[in-house]
Amino acid sequence: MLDVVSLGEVMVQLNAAEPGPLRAVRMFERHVAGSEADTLAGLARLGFNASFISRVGDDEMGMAVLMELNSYGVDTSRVTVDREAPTGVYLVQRGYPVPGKSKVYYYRSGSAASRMGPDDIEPEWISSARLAHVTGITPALSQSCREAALRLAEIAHNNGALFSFDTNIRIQLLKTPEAARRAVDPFLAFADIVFTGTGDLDFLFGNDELEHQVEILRKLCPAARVLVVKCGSHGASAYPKDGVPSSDPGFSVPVVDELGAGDAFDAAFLACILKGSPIDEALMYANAAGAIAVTARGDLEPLPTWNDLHVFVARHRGGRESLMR
Amino acid sequence: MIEVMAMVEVVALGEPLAGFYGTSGRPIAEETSFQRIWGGDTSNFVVALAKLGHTSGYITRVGSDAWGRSFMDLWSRAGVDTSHVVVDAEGYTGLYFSCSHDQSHEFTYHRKGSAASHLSQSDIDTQYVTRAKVLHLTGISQAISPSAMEACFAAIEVARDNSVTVSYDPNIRPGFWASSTLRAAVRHTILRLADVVELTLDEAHLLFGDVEPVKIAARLIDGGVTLVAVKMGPDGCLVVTRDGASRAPGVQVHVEDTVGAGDVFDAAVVACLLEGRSPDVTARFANAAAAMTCRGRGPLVSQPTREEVEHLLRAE
Repeated sequence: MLDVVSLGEVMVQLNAAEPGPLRAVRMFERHVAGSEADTLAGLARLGFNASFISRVGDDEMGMAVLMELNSYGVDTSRVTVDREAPTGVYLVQRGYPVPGKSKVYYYRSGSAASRMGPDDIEPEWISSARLAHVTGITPALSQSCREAALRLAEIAHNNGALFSFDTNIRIQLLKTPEAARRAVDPFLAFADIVFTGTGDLDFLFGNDELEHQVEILRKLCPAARVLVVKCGSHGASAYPKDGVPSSDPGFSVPVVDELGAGDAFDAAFLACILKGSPIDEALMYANAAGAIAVTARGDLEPLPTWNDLHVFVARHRGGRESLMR
Repeated sequence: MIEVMAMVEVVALGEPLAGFYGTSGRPIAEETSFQRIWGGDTSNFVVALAKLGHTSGYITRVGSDAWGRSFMDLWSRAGVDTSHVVVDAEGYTGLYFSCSHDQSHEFTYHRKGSAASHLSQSDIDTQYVTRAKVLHLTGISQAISPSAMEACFAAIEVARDNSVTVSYDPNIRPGFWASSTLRAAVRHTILRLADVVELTLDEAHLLFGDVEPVKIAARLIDGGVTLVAVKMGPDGCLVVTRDGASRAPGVQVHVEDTVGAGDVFDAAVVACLLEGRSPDVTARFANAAAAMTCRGRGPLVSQPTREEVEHLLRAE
């Protein structure tokens, strides 16, 4: 019985062992990461049955990726091994030139995942899912990926499942605001839950007051029950269709690598929504998940369980110092 | 304005690759810690040759990414001429992963569509090749892409038309041996086009049957090859010319990693050729140079200088 399904690219991530320019870094840690896959793993960690639709290359890295996702409890039975194209790889340069920020260098052009299409989706397999989730990265990979993601959104919609979309703009893939709009608009039209960030909003709608940007976004998302705006270390806000907006200030933590925080956020937020939690609580746990995610390298490794989230929140907001050991 | 063109003794053609080596001896799919080294057979070759005291130049294309820039720095520091390296703003520099476990090496490449895969005939500067004494390329250079293969043949043609020695190492990789086009290209190059051929014993057997290396070498010499060098790893090497065959036994060194030893061997053979050394000296020199390269992890770390090789030979 599937709870959540997603479609996207998962890659091997070579993360610099120390901060600094890549040319000076000798040691790299291999991780596995990809926005939708990260969010699915986050949901699996929180007890949901998650299935990933994708393609990987018929290579060692493809195997590594599948093994890793499986170890996080994500079903990969619908990940096809593509003999003709490689598994995507990317490098992470950390803390340079901006301390605390990471830069990525992709080796993903022509990857197996970029060749995914609508036929990669089996409607029967996903018919029981309560939620389908996709981000703006997937339609940006290729025309066929765009069509696949749209198909997923359509099927979810027709099944009465929730469709969740994170704008997740990647300027390396979508060079201009116009291209970004073309990529995300069709998904915004379908989405029940929309995630975005202040950076994405600025790119899509130009620098403006957050409230104005949210208004423009709202008009593009007629089906959305809630819009969630992530503001990094400043927390996040939720704008429900009916009801007042709410915010959560987030948590202050030392940043080791901020990659994957947004995906961890989405996972925790969606988990709370699926459990029927109120939006305030969902925002708080989502922020907590995002905060935990930035404190370690790798997108999957720091994904929290419910217990981790409770301990983290109690520690930061509990008022009194409780014993940890 | 008078353009002064760089003149080098040896021009190489091929692809540099950033190499990620697993550090804990696990198979690639399970390895989580990698050390990044600079690799690519022809890049290793030009750097080794510079270290052995000769001038080398590289015809290649790299991306304007972190690796491409690092390679440019590396080659400049090593004294390799980079006037014919094209930095491609749109392209990327290829990479590979390597793990060694249970005595074997596993490789996996990410180089499809790389900057170097866009090498083509138009990258071959006739004057640059003509002014050199040796052109060196490998089976990997030919395997990069169809356009790179054409570039290789074009370069060979220029060399042959202008009395530039063609040095060739088939450097067969399992991944590309499935291609009949490549198999044909390798055989044709060795049998009809190359003046100097460097190959391993395994490659010799794969190409010419399970026959003694001396016989294989003799066949090639009869066909017009001037020097055949057969690499036999810990068993040393064999160098054969029209004047005879020389065998050098294996050299005792601490072996950390053998990747890149073959490229240094090739560089040493070409160095000896430029210096007019006898097959005997060539065999011992190239053997020692290759062995010394195995002391460090990655192809470049332990590439020896001429003095170091001679020191080892004297100590023997």
